[in-house]
Amino acid sequence: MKDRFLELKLKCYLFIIVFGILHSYAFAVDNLECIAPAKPGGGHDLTCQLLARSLELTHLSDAPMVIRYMPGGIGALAYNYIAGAKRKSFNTVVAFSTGSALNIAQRKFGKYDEGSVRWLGALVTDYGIIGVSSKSRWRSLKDLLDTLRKRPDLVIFGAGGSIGSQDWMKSALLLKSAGIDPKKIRYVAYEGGGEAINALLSGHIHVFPGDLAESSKYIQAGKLIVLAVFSEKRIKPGYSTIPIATEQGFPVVWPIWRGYYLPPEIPEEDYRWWENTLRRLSTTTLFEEERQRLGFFPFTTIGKDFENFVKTNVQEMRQLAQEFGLVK
Amino acid sequence: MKARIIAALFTVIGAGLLILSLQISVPFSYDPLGPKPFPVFVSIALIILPFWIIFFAPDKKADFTIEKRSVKLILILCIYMAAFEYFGFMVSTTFTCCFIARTVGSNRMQGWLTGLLISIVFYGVFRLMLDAQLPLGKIFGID
Amino acid sequence: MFGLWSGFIAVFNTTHLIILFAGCLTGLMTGILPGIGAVNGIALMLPFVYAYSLPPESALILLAGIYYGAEYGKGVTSILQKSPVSHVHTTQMNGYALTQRGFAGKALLFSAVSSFIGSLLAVVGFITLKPFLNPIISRFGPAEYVALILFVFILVLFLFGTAFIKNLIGLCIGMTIAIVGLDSATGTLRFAFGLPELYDGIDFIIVVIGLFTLGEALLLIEQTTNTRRIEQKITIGFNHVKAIFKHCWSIIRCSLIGFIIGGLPGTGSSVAGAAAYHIEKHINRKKTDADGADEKGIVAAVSAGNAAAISAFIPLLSLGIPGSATTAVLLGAMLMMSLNPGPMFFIQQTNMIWMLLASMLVGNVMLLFMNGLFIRFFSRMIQIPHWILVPFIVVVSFVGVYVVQHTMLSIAIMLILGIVSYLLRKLDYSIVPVILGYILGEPLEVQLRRALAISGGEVGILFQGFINQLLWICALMVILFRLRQKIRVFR
Repeated sequence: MKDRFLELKLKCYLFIIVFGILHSYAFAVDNLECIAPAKPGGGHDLTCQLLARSLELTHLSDAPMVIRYMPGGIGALAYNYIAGAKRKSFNTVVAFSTGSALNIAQRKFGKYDEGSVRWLGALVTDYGIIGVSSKSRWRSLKDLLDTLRKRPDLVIFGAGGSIGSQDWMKSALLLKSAGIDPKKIRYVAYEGGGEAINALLSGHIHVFPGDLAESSKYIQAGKLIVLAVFSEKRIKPGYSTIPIATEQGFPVVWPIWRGYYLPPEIPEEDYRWWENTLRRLSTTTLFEEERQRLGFFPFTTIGKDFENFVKTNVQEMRQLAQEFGLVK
Repeated sequence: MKARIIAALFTVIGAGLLILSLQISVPFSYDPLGPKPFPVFVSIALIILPFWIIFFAPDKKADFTIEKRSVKLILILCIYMAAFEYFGFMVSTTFTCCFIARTVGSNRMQGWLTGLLISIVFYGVFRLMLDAQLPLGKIFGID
Repeated sequence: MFGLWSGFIAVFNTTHLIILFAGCLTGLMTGILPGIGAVNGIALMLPFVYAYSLPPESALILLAGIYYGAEYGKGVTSILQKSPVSHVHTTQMNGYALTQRGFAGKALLFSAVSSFIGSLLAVVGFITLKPFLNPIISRFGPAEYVALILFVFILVLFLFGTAFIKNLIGLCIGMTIAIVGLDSATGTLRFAFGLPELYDGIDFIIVVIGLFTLGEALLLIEQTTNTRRIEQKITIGFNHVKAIFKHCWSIIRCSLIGFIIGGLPGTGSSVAGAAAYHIEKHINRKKTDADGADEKGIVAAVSAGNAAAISAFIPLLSLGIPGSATTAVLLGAMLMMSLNPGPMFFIQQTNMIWMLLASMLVGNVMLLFMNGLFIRFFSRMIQIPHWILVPFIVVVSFVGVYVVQHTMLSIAIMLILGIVSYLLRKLDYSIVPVILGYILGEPLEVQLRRALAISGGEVGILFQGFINQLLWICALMVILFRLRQKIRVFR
């Protein structure tokens, strides 16, 4: 190859690089981004999808919203990223839920806590349940707990979370309200809800403290029976025949709300934009349909209300964590 | 001799891991083992096993040479790592590929060509086809 | 058989066929390229596959295609080149011998046809076995898993080349890497140094690319420049085709051997290839025809190797337990794409499995044609100069790791692992125990603790039940067999 030819080629390439960089710069800034701090397919993914699709359907935002996945430490990595490197960004929102609040309370998010980000709002919720296999003999919480007192080896709890996770907390709270020490039972931790449900249906475990949305298809197939739902009132429509824990004498409420947070130093007018957009979104029917499609229940708290809500929530969880001896 | 040094290194690492393992604090656990025994066991194994190599292993393949090329490559990779986010993917890749190619014995033109081609093609494939982010360089003010 | 038919229907849509083709081609090419091979082929494709967000079924077809495609490719390289990095030693010995005598084309043809028949027979075997597998695997509880994983460990520790101690150390290193992160049962952090990036442990892709790809690259650049050009034209004559029929029984025999060995958890295609080779040699010890012997060598190793590669899918998909480095990497790749091989997967996702089997049949046909048509192109591919290959490998490694976890820490860990792998290989340690320790370390611990949680602390649960006892006995037999060998050597 002759040298002259190559020089020309190199110049062309250089031009392409520079052009590419500028182009991508423009490209990068326009998009809105929702970060799901987990692997695709989980609850956070759905939370982001809800927002992305609703925004698209209602045309409340010109720029399309991309979903980015940032698994790591059950939300810790994303939290650190937003509170640290991306603190001033204005086009990024991150999915958040009760589980994440629980992790903050147990100090699993590194050096950041609930004051490290700007809370935007929550739009939906799910509820915890106590599920048993349709082949089991129990028909109420009281049945279950009585058996537990007499024969703890016949009532093995299992869920898709470790000790201190949401699922464990649900059972711990239930046991506490029944006067049983949560440390004295048998609990098996699985990798995810699906695996735990499978173990339940094969008889390896007997009680599944899970979520309503993830169990719905098994409930409808008649394989999983919900002994109680951890909500304030019975859930209408659809699940009104399921009693809530409170009416059975065990006042435990555990909603799994799903919301969003923004970087801590986001400019005020951008925060306002997000807040208003969310408010308008929550009132549209298109959003309602999306929510129902994903199997979630309504729960709208936006802006300052949400911030207070989160902070109170995290405080409560801190107390619980200390009570149960989960943190020193 | 070198094999023995590396084996001793394993022992040291094992000891470090043992200290870390013993510090694991468990509020409580439902299985009788808990999260401690496994790491402790593995680190103890890492401490003890190299002794066999240090004392008993025959020396037939114990020696080896690390060629200069490999050391150069490692250095280039370290620099690539440091430059990746700062200078951005395209720029650092171009330079790195060129240096690697030169190390392996190509001439200058081939090196630069490889560098440019690889960096552009990869950026294109990942950004446009796969929609994945590659850093463009803090030095240019892009995050 | 209805299942297989529906599998075919699912495969014969354009997207899947394209993906299958891409997978097989990639596998074939990476199997051929020196310094890459099946493991790295999968590792290198991972960033692309992950970033493209393929749905699980397509990902499965693709990954499988790469895997058995690479197995095909191995045969080609070892015939054409005396490369120290090649894995199938026996094919290499005989294949290269044939090449030296000018019969490269014949050798390649034999390799291609044996690969095809070996794989085909194995897929048929898999299909036949499938209905019988379900009752067995649903009996697998935590205790059975512990026994199985320990069995795999013992197989790897004892039957694998070099020193037992070195393998054991490698295993421990792998397990240490696996320990990093949150403990899944209690939520406690281990070995994480307070870094949130490490909360989920050291990601699979970092380990694979670090240990295999980078380590290999470092070793690769130490080789002096490429082998001399392949002088001969690669021609395939009709009498070559006729010659294959001479070996037809060998092919069938060796495919069967390969199928059985590959189907055992803990063994891979290299073991199968070597075993088949020795068995064939023993059976044919009375014949003295040199050419024929070389041909048989190729045929034996290749058909067994390919059969084993396919049947390795059986324990992989039904139990989630890999038997070799390659299958371990394949497992990790599947987990990354949200496929969870195991009893739950195998029983519930029957459609996906049938589609996979159908795709294997189609894929093998594709590979046979690819082998035939592109063989000249491929043989020239072997001669890709290092100054293109190495930068390419390096960039794919960096990008691959970065795309999965956007932190420089992961790249740093990858580098460290690469250096470690390089040093270990220099010291004649094998990396296979390391990757198996990494992949199987966590399941071992999790299942052990789960079994104890269910039994309330009694260790006896590990020895109850037919499957457990069978596994323990087999493990014991392996240990005794090896000890006997060592004692004989001593005398």
